[in-house]
Parts: sequence; C-alpha cells; structure tokens
Amino acid sequence: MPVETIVRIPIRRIPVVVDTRDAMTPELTLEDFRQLFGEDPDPSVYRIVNIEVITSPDDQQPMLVTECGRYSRFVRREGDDIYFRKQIEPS
Amino acid sequence: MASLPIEQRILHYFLAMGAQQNPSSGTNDSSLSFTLGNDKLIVNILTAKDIVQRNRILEALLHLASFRGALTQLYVVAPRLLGASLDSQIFRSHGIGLILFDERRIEETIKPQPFFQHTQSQPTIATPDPTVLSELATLKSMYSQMERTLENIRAEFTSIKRDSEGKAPDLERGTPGFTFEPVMRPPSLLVETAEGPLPSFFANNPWLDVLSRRGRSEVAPLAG
Repeated sequence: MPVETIVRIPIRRIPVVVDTRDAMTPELTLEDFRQLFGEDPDPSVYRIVNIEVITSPDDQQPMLVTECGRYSRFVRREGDDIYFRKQIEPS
Repeated sequence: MASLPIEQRILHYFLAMGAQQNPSSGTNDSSLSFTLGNDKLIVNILTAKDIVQRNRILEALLHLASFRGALTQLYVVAPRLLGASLDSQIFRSHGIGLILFDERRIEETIKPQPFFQHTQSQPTIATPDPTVLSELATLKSMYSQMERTLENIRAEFTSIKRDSEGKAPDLERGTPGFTFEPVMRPPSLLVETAEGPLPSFFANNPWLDVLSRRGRSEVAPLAG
C-alpha cells in the first residue's frame, strides 16, 4: 500500500468585474477596473464575480476550487486552503 | 454498493460502525438518526441537487442545530463536489461533523464534537446550606464582639496615654524620674583571675592544664 501524506494548497481569489448590460465588454479584475476608471464598479451596471483558483498538486496547473471535488484525493477545504492527499514517491 | 441511494449507503456506513438506527423524526426525509453507545447521532444528507439550492443547505444546518445537546453528535453528509465550497473550518468550530461522499467512497472529513456550551453557560443557583449559614452568623457575632473589644482597648490606651503625658518627668531639667543601673551578671558564674573574670566552668577544671600544655610537648625531642 503506498504511503500518503496531506498537502495544503492556498486558494487565490480573483475578483472579476462583469458588465451586466453589455456582454461584449471585456472582463477586468477589480484591481484593474479601479486603476482604469479610478472608482469602484457601479453595482447597478457591474457585477463582481469571485473566482477561486489553486494550483493542481499533480501538474501545477491552475484549476478552479470547485473542480477539486472531482478528484478522489481531495480531502477538504478549510479556511483559505485546500487539502489533498498525495502519495509519497519511493526514492 | 455505489448503485444504492446515498441514504442507504449512509445507513450501512453507520451500521458498520456499530450504531443502531432510531425511527426517523418524520420532519425531514433526508435526516437519519442513530444511537451509538451513549451518544445520539443526527445525520442530515445533502445531495448533488442541493448545491444550487442555497436555502436547502440553510435548512439542513438549522434542522441540525435544533438537535443540539451534550450527548448529540451532528453530521452533515455532502457530495464531494460540494466539499470544495463548504469551509470545514466552520463545521469544526461549531462541532458539526462533515462526511463527504462520491460514487466510490464515504469519508468522515470532520469529526463532530460534543456540545457543552449550553450546559456550561447556564448560571446555577445554589441553595444555601443551613450549617454554613449558622456558622456565618456565629462568625459575624464574633467579629462584632472583637470590634467592641478593640474599641475598649483603644479608649483605655488613649486615657492611659493622656494620664502619662500629664505626669511625664522632665529629663532635660534633671528631675528624678527614671534611674538606669548597669546590668550585673551573677557572681557565681564568674571566676576572678589575674587577667580578669572568667566563666565558672574554668574553676578546678583539670583539662585546663592539659590544654595549656598542648603543642609544647609535640616539639620536644622524643629521645636523648
């Protein structure tokens, strides 16, 4: 039976501003929006979507936090961290 | 096993742990109740369809909260897909257990903790013990008597002080009041010698002669 350990991966939150009136408007991060327009987005026009991503423990590629549940190695989410089971490779 | 509905799988999971199923409360179809030793387990199951129903999750948690007790352990069972959206820190801080499942396995992610807050925070009104009350009354009377005695002593001391101040001798003017005499030792304890008085144990002590010659005989020649 392979030896397993638990790895902790921090969650990164990216707030994205979406224009609800014009679907063709490119999405901006909240930080970029503030820098570009010099103000916070108007709630009646824009909606802020929080995208939570982590780096995959397998291939180090970004993945959505909501995708973690598809992996059998997913253990739990606790605070701003995701815990995965990981096999220890024999040296 | 995975083809069974999740309610049946959870039932088998807890029965395998040695729990006994209790009759359902009837208010919630997705809720199961078990008895494990002295503990009562309440399990509320969230399915994949509940992910999009925010109120369904709220209802499940409030339903569990109504069963809070010292000997009750609460579980939320949720699909693994929903597990990434549920912060298990919240479950841990409130003592609610979390079980995640998928087609292959059922896993207890957070263990429930017994809830003691209500029993500890309730103020307990202790009935006074009559023995303690009587002892307290005795102590109180003793204290008041001591206070009176102390007042009398203080009054007497003040009057004595006032009298003594009125009759105080004037030492600076040379008025005879107090005479100081040197303290003399009893004569029986002193032995008069040429160097002065010695203690009584020196009188007729044969060891004095031996001790006075000590050291002189050691330097004397042994032969010739």
